[in-house]
Amino acid sequence: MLEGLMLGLQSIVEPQHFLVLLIGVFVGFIGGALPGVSGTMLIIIVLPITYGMEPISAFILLTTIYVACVFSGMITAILFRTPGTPESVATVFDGYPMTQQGKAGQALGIAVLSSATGGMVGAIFLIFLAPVLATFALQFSAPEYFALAILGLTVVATLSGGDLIRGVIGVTIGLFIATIGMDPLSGIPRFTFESAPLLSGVDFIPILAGLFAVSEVLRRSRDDHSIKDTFQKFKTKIFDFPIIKKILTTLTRSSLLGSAIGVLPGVGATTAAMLSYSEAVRWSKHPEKFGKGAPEGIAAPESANNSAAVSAMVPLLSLGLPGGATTAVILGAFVMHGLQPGPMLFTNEPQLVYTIIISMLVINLLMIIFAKPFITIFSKIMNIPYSVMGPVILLLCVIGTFAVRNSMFDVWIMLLFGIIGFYFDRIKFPLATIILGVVLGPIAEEEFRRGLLMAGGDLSIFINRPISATLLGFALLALTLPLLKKVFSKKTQPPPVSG
Amino acid sequence: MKYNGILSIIVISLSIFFLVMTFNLPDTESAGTINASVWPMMILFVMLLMGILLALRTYRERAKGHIKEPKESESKPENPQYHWLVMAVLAGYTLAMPLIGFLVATPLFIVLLALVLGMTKIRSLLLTSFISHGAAVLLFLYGFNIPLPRGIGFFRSFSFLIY
Repeated sequence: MLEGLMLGLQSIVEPQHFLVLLIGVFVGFIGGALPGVSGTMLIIIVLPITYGMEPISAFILLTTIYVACVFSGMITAILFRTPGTPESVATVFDGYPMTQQGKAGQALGIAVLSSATGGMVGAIFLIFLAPVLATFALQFSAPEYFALAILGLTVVATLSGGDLIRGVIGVTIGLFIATIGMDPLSGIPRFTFESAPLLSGVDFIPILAGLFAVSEVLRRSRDDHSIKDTFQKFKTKIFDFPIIKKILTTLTRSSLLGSAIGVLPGVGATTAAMLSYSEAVRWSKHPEKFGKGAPEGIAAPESANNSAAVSAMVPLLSLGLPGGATTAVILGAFVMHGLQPGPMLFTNEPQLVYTIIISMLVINLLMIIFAKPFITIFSKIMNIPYSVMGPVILLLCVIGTFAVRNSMFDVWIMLLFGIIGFYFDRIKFPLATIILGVVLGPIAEEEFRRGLLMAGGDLSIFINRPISATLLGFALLALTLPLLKKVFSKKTQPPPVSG
Repeated sequence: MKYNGILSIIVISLSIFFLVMTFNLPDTESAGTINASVWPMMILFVMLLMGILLALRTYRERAKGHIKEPKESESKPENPQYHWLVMAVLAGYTLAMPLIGFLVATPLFIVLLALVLGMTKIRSLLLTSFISHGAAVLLFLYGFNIPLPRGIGFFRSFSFLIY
């Protein structure tokens, strides 16, 4: 492992890689801080640009943007009560009241320090846990990979926002879309309606761009197009020692909690932030101060969401399991670069894996250095109206989608999914579940059929092998647990009082 | 609000339609292999089942009188139909690009979209269009050599002057 880490360190200090890292931090900072530009959307936009790059630079760029986005989402959450990313939702609770009290600089300082600390704890988790998981996963064959894909699909239970039926519908839509095109094993065209472009299937980039970016611009087009909040003058102070002393316990607890939650596939940084916030309230001697501008109320979600975002790379790199929508896109990026995340990645591409791991550590150090000047510059960028941002976002989506296969047909697919995403978003349909199906569908089908080929068509191969059976057992548990919980909570609830 | 009801009808109809298509896929099964239709069939059966469950749940909730329908995420938008305008501009751009080329279609697209999104000053419109188009040309045409559509006839010849 030490050898790998040295390899990663040597790689990251190469001028070309370090420059990409700096660009990623800058792009991620801006993207995360702009409401309406999510980390997922930004990575989708940047993804086509990485085609021409060598894999190490490409993944430094993508993962840096991912982490920097989670970090900078707190800026608008604190200043405008508008979280730049979903992960910063809980930061609003105490961040915005501090701004109202004229303590915006202090609130931002706490958030910067907490984010960097959380991110570094997450990176340490990544360094020690990912190789262990990867070594274990070397024993994997087709049935185990199929079981893993199924386990990945059960993330639907958390992504479906409490409505499992609609979540499963989303996953099946995604899985079905992934079957369109020529069957890779038999060469039979499936659901192509004799259309030549459909023979090569539906690429996931137009679906992603449509569902997330186009639908968001459509939604925003109905709003008032200017951010009207006035910007107050403030000075960010990161190392405020009396405050550090005050938040130290919360910072440690939330960083560890966030890292542990992030390792679990599918739980994600948003949940980690919310859970850490509620734990901070539970453990506090003054819970009544929360929601009114308590520094711990910023430290808890910010350290947890950053540590969770970094440690979410553990299942992605070592098992090939995405933790959420953004990591699902990164998983797709691996596939597009001809790489398969999972145990073999550690054996075949040690330099790439350890460069990603080291870059995660470096990003968090850079955050402390760059946060202050960025927040100052950002105060000016925030004034860009959506009438400029919207066309630019859509232009990038069209070019990005076209560039995948040089196909205008893909742009039409993007438009179609833009409308679908817009209406699904309005009825709060969990869009991420569709992405989950599209990304994991091909892996699941291929390994399922390969597994059956290994066993001569005998389905019991999936439950006769211990690892595969255990993973499928976990998958079943992940799906049934929320249902059982619902049943039991209904039973224990007192009957409603009539009249 | 009948969103779940409509959603369940769409899901059930689509899954039945594609299930019928799946049954008509050619048979390629040989020793140890499975048909190309098996995996989509499994998915579509689950989709159909979920559609039915959603319909039943919606029906039961309506019968009981406490409808748990998801509420629309917006209350009262300022421009309720503007998304159709944006979509029309986007569709027009997608249609026009293969005919008049990326170089000509893009500035028009940016100006129109910026207008729809509330930009009114002519100077701002021209500036936004010029800067974003210029940046896109530099980045994607020169930087990444992406063969964006050149258009036909005159537009094609014109594009060769630039890239």
